[in-house]
Amino acid sequence: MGCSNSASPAYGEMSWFCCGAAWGPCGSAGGGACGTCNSGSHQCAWPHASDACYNITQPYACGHNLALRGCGHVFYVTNRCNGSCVSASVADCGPNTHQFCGESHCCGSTCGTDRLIDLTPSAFSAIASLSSGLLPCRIDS
Amino acid sequence: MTVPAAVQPLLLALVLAASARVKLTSRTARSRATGTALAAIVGKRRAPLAYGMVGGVEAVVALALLAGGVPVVPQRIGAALAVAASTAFVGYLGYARLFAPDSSCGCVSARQAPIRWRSFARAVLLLAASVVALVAGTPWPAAVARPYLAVGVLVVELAAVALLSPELDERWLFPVRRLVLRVRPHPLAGLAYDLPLASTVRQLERSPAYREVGGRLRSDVLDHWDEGEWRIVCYRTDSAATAVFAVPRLRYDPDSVRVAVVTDPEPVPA
Amino acid sequence: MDAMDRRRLLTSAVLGTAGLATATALGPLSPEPAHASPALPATEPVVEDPNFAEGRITGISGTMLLVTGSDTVLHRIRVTNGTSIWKLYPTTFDAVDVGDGLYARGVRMADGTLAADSLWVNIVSMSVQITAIGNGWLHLDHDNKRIVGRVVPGRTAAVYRDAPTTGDLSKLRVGRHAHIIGAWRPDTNEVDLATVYAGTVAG
Repeated sequence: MGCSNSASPAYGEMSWFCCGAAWGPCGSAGGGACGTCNSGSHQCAWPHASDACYNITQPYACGHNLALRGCGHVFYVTNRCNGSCVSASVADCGPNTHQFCGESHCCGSTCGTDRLIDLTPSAFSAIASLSSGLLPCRIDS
Repeated sequence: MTVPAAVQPLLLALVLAASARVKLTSRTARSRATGTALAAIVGKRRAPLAYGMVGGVEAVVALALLAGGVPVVPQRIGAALAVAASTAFVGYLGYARLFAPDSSCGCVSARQAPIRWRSFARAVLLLAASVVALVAGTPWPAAVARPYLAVGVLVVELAAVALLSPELDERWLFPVRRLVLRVRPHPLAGLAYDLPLASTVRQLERSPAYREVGGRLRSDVLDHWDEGEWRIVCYRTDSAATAVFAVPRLRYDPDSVRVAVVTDPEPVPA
Repeated sequence: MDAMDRRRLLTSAVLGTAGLATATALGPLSPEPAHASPALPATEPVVEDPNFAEGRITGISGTMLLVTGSDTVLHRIRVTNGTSIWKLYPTTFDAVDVGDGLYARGVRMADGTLAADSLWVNIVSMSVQITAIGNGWLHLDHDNKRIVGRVVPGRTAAVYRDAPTTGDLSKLRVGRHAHIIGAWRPDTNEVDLATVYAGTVAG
C-alpha cells in the first residue's frame, strides 16, 4: 500500500498538532495517547485510535465510519492541494471531528470536509506549509 | 435554622446523583477519564474503571442521604459519608492542582473542565453543606414544614453550584456572553483592516495555478507586495527558482491567479 | 540588483506581456515542466526527520541559528537568502530573536547544519473553544488551558466554513470550537492570531 492507491481511502481535512517535548503552549502536550508521539517524527493523530478515543472524537457524528487503527498503524496522507504525500504512524487520538462537522476547505474544485487527521509538524511540513493550517487531504492505509 | 439544615442532604444528594449519573452512564465521560487528574493517581489504563467506581460511591452516598428521610435511618449516616466524600474531593482537587495542573476535573459532566478556583469553591461549598447536615442531623423531610423557604434555599444553593461549575459554562455563561455581544456592538466589528495576507494565500491555494506547481514549492511565502489590483506572492521551488504568483487583491477569483517560474540569480534578501 | 528591481522583474514576469503565464502555459520563463511530480514518501514513516528541526533559539551567529531542541538536541540552522521566515506573517531574519521557538524544514548538510528552506517562528496550531471576546482579544480554551489570543489589525484573518478568508472577525461567537494558527509570544505567553478557522458561523 502507499499514496493514493488503496481501495477505500478517506477524504477530509488535515491539520497539524504538537506532541512530545515541545515549547510554548505545546510544552505540556506529552507523548500522546500512545506515549510515543514526537513532533520531529512523521506521526499522526487518528480519531479511531482506540474505542475510548472513538467515544471522544465521535467522527460518526459527522457521518464518518472510520476504521479502528491503533498505535503504530501507518497511513499515507496526501495533500490534495499539491499532490504531495507523506507516511505517518498513529501516535495519538484526535482530532475531535465532531466539533467541526461540515467544515470544508477546498483547492479549486477539490474539497475536504470534516477534520479527520492531525499530523506532527515534521510530517505536515513535508507536504505543506505549517502556516496553511487546514488543508484537504486523502488518507490511504 | 432547622429548615435550611434539612435542605442540605437534598442538595448534596442531587449534586452527587447528577455526578454519579454522568460517571456511570456516559461512555464519552468514561473515555475522557484518561484526561482527568484521576489518571495521574491511578494510571491512564485504570482511570475509566476508577472513574466508574467513583460514580458508584457517589450514588451510594446520594442514596444514604435520601435514606435519612426514612425514620429508622439516622440522617447523620448519609451526612457523615458526604463529609468524607467532600473532604476527599477537596483533597483530590488539591492533588490535581499540584501534580496534574493541565488535567480535567472529571467532576459533574462529560465536558472537560480545567481545575481552577471555581472548582475549589464548589468543593468547599459542598463540604460546608455536608458539615451543616452532619452537625444538625435534621432529617430532610423536616424541610416541608416551611416549603417556600426550603425551595428557596435549595434553588439558591443549586444556582451557586451551577455558577461554580466550569462544566456548565456552556449552558449559561456562554449564552449570556453571546447575548451581550448581540445587544452591544461586536468588539471585533467595523475594524477597517487591510486585506490579510492569509486571505490572499488561501485564495492562492485554491487556484488551478497553485495545484500545478504547489508540489514543487520548497519554502513558505518568501516575499509579497501589492501591484495595483494584484498581490504578488513569491515562493522558492525545488530547483532554487522563484515561483511568482499574482493573486487578485480586490476580488475573489482563484481561477484568475497567474504564476510564472523564474530562474532567479538573486533571491530576496534575508 | 536591489530588492525593488527584483520585485519589478518578478512583477513583469507574472503580469507583463511576456508573463501572461498560467500554470498550464508557463512559457519560456519556466525552466521546469508544468506538472509537478512530488517525491514519494518512504514506505515506513520517518523517525526523527533529519531535514526538520524544532526547539528554542539560544543564539544567533551571523546567519546561523543555534537552536536547543525540546529533546535537548542542539541544532545549527543556516538561514539563506532563499529561506522563508514566518513569524505571524512572512518576515525577515531581523525579526527572529533569541528565546523564540521554531520549526524548520530544509536540507541537512554533511557538516550537520540544516540549510533551511522554511522557518516558522513561534508558530502554534491549536484546536480551541472561544470562551470570551473583547476589544482586540479572544479568550480561548485549549486542553483545559486558558489562552489569550490577540487580534492583530491587518494580519488576523478568519475562515468561516468554506467561505473566502476574510479580515472580518465579527462573526466569531462565544462557545464555538475553532482551530487557530498563531504566533506565540514568549514574554507574555499570549498568542497573536494569524488565522482563526471558525468552522461554522453561529446563529
